[in-house]
Amino acid sequence: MPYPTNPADIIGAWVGAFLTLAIYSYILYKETRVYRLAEYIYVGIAFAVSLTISVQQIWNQIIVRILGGQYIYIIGVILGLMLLTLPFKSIRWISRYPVIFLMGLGFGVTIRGALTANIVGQIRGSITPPGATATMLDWFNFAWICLGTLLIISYFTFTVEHTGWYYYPTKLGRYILLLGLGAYYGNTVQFRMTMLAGRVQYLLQVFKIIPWP
Amino acid sequence: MGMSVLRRPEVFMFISGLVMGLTLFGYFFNVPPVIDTVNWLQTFAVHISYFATWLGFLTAARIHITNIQRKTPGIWYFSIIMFIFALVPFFAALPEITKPSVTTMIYTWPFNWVYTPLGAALYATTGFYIFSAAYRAFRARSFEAAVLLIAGCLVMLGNAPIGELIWSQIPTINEWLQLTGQTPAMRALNITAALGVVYFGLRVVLGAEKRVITLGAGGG
Amino acid sequence: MGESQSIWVKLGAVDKRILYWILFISLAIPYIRPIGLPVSIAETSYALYNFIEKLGPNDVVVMAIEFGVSAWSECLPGFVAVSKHLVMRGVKIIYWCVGYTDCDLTMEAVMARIPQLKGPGQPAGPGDYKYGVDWVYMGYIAGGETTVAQLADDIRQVLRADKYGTPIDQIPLFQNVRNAKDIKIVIDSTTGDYGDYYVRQWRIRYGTAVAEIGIAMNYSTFMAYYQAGLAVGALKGIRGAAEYEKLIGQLGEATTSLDALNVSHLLVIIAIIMANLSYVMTRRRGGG
Repeated sequence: MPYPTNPADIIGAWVGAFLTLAIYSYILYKETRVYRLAEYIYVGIAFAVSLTISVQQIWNQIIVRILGGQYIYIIGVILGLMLLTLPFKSIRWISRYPVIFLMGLGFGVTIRGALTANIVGQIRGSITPPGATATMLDWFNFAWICLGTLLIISYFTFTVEHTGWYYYPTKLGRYILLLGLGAYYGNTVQFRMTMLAGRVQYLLQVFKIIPWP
Repeated sequence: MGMSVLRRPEVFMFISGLVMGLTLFGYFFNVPPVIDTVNWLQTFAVHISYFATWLGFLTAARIHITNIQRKTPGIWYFSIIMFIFALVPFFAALPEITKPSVTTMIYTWPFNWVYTPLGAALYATTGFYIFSAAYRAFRARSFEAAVLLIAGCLVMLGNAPIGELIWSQIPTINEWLQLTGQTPAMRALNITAALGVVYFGLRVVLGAEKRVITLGAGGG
Repeated sequence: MGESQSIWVKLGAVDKRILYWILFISLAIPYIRPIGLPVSIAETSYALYNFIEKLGPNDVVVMAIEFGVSAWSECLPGFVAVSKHLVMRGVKIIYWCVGYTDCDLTMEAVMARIPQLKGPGQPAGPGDYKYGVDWVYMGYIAGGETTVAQLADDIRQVLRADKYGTPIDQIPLFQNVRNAKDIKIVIDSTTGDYGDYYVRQWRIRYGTAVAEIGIAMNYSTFMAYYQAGLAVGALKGIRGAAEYEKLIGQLGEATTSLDALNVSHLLVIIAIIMANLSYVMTRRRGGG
């Protein structure tokens, strides 16, 4: 894709770069009105986008079906409108119905998946030994995962005091947990730095220091 | 009298219990009418989420309208700007709502050239904080902190190709840490979080979480 | 001794804005003067590649765009690389997005990078992907895990038409696709928890294979599923994307972005070392 040639797009690219620098002025210098302006503009446009898409979805997925004779979809509209009473104190209680409905359904949907994937699946994965052709390293890894998971869960069991004989396995579990969190931190750094590098790349492209992708 | 019945916590407990129970029953037992009912419940939940955006906007609008009415110093004119950028593109896009895509430039230009780079810029600011935190806060004050930092550094070196240049064993160590080393931690967190969700869900349904059930049930 | 002690104290208390400027400028250098170091390939990248290598024109795959434009740097290159691989294999692709409103821009970006993906109404030559037959874009779908669950049960309950308004029953690709059982694999690229949702609602309930090609943080959490056999592969953000580009033999944006990764990671490690040196030296001198 070459550098934008349409005047509106060229102006847009520079506006985007200016607003990016406005956001970073808070970090690289201090909070300024320019930063505040960029912040509020973003919030405003984010609302515009969300509201537009919301209305599109309501039209495409609900209204069109109702107009086509599928009147059961009115229930979704009624529940959605009930939700919108939340900001109004005197009728706020009406919004509890869709919220409670969502909560119950959400828990049901999550629990049915969590029981099998996050509990049974994970436990099964932890206790399933390697196959017949496994090497010493495979057995070490199996022991690491199986015992490590058990030790960390023991660390999270606060109904038993971590004293006496119970202190040492929980301490070891804590070390293994921190090893895992350290690895997670390393991946977090990659994600955050890549995002920032992407913005630096965008600025260099707009200012024509490097080619536009 | 009728209204007060509709606000009783028992009514909300019943609804959440019924919906959750149906969902779980439909999953574990192959009863077609129950499965169809659960499908419809899921559909209605998706429809409710279409309206949820409006809730966020209404709540924010109340706050910003208050700022404008009171002329809160340093903020009220920004609130006006927020409303302009929220409502102008929205109303410009409304005539095209029934079309597959909105093409009016009053909507698409801010979306492409303001919303997109600003969103990315805001999202990326954490990179700066990660760096300053690494310099100022990540001190290995204890053995545990040292374990965390060393594991983090090894993974960082493994993720960047330069790690392989520094020491040829870095990719092997990184691979082990990623595939096996961190698995007990992630797995344990997975299991305990899932147990927490199951436990909390049952508490809500059985009415043990009074705060959740009664919040707003009394009329606000 | 007092002077060197104050140097360590000063180093430990440097104005953070100086650090931010150092980072900001350092990140620009590798884009201006690229280096290009070789990349080794992780097991999970191979696993996903090998899985897709076994797929063919009779298989339908869902590519879930669960990331916003803000996360393009980390997620888009991998998404494009996997899409290219699917196109090379002739696999039918359904693109959709649950929860991120700006996915239309992402889909446009993918189409710009994969010229074989022809839009609705565009003529498709040999080797091209004809819209509606070989691939389809369903657009944004609101919701979270409940929507993912409903899509697994019955796609038509959630989606009436594709992004461009064509009723789903008139789309040839959807002739034999009703729910998760008809999908070979869901490849999810997310900045949030959508990978977990697809495992819970698609893999567990219908046996559909799942892979996660999103941000590096999700790679960590997804390893528990991979090790338990609940996922077939994963890419680790931009690093995984670069590995995948190497596997399919088409180097792209991910490979060019790795230099910035080198600089940023080295800077963070140097910062950690400096912080700890400063801490040790000030403690040794009596905490001054």
